[in-house]
Amino acid sequence: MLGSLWLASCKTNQPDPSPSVVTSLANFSPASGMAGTVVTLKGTGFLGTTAVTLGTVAASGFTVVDAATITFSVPAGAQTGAITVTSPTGTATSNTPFTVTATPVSAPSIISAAPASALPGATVTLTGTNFTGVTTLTLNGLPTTFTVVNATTLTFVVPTTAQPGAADLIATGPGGRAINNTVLTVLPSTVSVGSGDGGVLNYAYALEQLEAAFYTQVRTGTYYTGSSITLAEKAAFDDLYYHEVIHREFFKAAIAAAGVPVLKDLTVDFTSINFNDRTSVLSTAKAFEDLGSAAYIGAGQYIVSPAYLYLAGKIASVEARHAALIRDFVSENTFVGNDVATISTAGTSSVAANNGPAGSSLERALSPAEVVAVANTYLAIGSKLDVSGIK
Amino acid sequence: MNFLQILADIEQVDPEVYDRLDSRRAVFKNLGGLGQKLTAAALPLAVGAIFNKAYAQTPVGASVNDVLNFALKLEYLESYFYQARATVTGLSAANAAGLALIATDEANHVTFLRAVLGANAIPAPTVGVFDYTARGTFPTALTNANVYLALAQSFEDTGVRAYKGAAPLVMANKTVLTAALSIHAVEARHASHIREMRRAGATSSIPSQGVPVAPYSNAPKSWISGIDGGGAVPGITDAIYGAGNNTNAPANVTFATESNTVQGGVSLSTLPNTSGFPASAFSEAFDEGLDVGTVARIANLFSTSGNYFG
Repeated sequence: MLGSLWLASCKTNQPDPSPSVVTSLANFSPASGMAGTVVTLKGTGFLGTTAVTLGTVAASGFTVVDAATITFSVPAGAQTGAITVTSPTGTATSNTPFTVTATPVSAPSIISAAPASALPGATVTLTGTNFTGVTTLTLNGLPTTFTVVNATTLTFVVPTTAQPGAADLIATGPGGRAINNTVLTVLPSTVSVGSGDGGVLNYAYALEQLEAAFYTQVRTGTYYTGSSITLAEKAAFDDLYYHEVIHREFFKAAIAAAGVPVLKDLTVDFTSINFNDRTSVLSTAKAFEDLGSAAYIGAGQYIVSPAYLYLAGKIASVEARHAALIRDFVSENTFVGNDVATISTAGTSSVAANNGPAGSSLERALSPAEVVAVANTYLAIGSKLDVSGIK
Repeated sequence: MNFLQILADIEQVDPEVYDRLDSRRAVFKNLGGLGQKLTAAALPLAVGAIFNKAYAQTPVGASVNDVLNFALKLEYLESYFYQARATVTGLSAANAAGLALIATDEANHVTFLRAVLGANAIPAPTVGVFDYTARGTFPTALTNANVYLALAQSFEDTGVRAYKGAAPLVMANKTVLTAALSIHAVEARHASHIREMRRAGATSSIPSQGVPVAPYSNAPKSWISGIDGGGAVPGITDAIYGAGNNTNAPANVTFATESNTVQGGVSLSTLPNTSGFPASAFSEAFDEGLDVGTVARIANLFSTSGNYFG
């Protein structure tokens, strides 16, 4: 009896640490909340609890306050569902679900852009906050193609039609909009050749840059480097390369010497040309030389200085000589034709004023605008020519 | 390079220059539409009528007319020369076809210039005005293919230099200037092609595939390299590639020899990115013009009277 009393007394005063109370979950509060909300569980047998889960997501941090109380934070990513407590004395699940509410999202913000100035078509990285879930990003009202890298990083492509100047960026996400017009400047897609005689000289310089870049690249393609090119064609492409580089460097030096701002080094886009293919190279060379010849004819009337006109004429006839040979490479006896001169037809220029009458054998004169419409297809964005100053 | 000052200068001798700049645009428009509306036969008169209408009150300045008439004489020299090609033997069919195309162009140039000049045009010369043997120097000028092509090259290269040198003289008239530059380019194409024929040989059916052989008297490049060894007939054609006379030349216009490598004050051979280029490239890259007097002396070699070209 004494022994049993002692035993009974012992049980009363010194709670047995071994599982003697079945784990149960009576209630929890609050009944709902967003991720991070602290929830208090009431029940029994919580001592030694090894896991608390909400729905299917385990709470990474929970606190066993006492045998009847546990607190935990709603884990990120948890969905509405029952709460389950697992302890050495059993597993208990709430009778009612805890409702996970949507986390209120803050509006995104745009902090910086890299690069800070970009051409249309370029990829720009934005740094900011709350980019997750951004659904649209516009630049000056134009939709953009973009990728959300993470909550603070987003990349997008400047629309090819974007106008130069400060970029008005608007990012729209679930929490609102970010508006920024200070972090990015859109660079002009065209470059002006200028006006007056300097403008005409820069216009010629631009065309010579294009031709020089073309022949430089021709000499790296397998049409030129291969064994099947004829001696005549190889010799011609060597000379054309020399001549056009000399023309380019001449204009650069002469324009600077004249005290006129020199056009920048242009970036070409020759993706449409197959430098390994004779037909592609010759047809492009033909287009460039015919274009150059027509350009010089059409530009003469805009030159004021007799000395500059005479200089331009010195190059113009060399371009015409080039054109004739290249055309004969393409097809013998096409050194001149109705496509470039009004031999038996008229209408070789889209600007009627530049045509001689049929039967005059005048070579077509192309206006600067007509010329750059073609030349610009071989120039990268940012290097496309604006010749509106020549008039 | 002060455009307003130049306009003001022109205005002193031509008070209506400002109006004229506009009316010339109208002339261009009229020219463009002609081709579709008129037959070739009616064309010369019609073109002339347009120019007469545009310039009726203030005729084209005498100097421009003189330049155009001089160009017309050169075109007659070429046109009659190519019309005589039928008597030449030893030409491939391809080369005969090429010459026929050039003949068409030169005849067209005659027609066009006569139309532009209208009543101010010189009387049309007969073929007898020209002596393609150069008074016996080239007895087979119109029968031997090699001699014929040598002369053809000489005429075309001279023509290119003549139009180039004359361009600054007609620049006050934008319509005439553009037409002159257009003909200039066509002559250069001809020169390029004739040179192909010469380096590939008169009997070749693929003229473009000939390989140039220095010193380029017999097998020239399509462009002028140095002085091309004196041209197609060294000793006689040297002047075609030599220097002109700078007396009365426009400011900063110099009629240099074709071997010139200093352009606009820039020494080409010292330019960046040209190291390793052959020395010849620097003269090839630029053609040179000639003054009217020098061209006349060259052309008079082929004048029966010896002074048709003045």
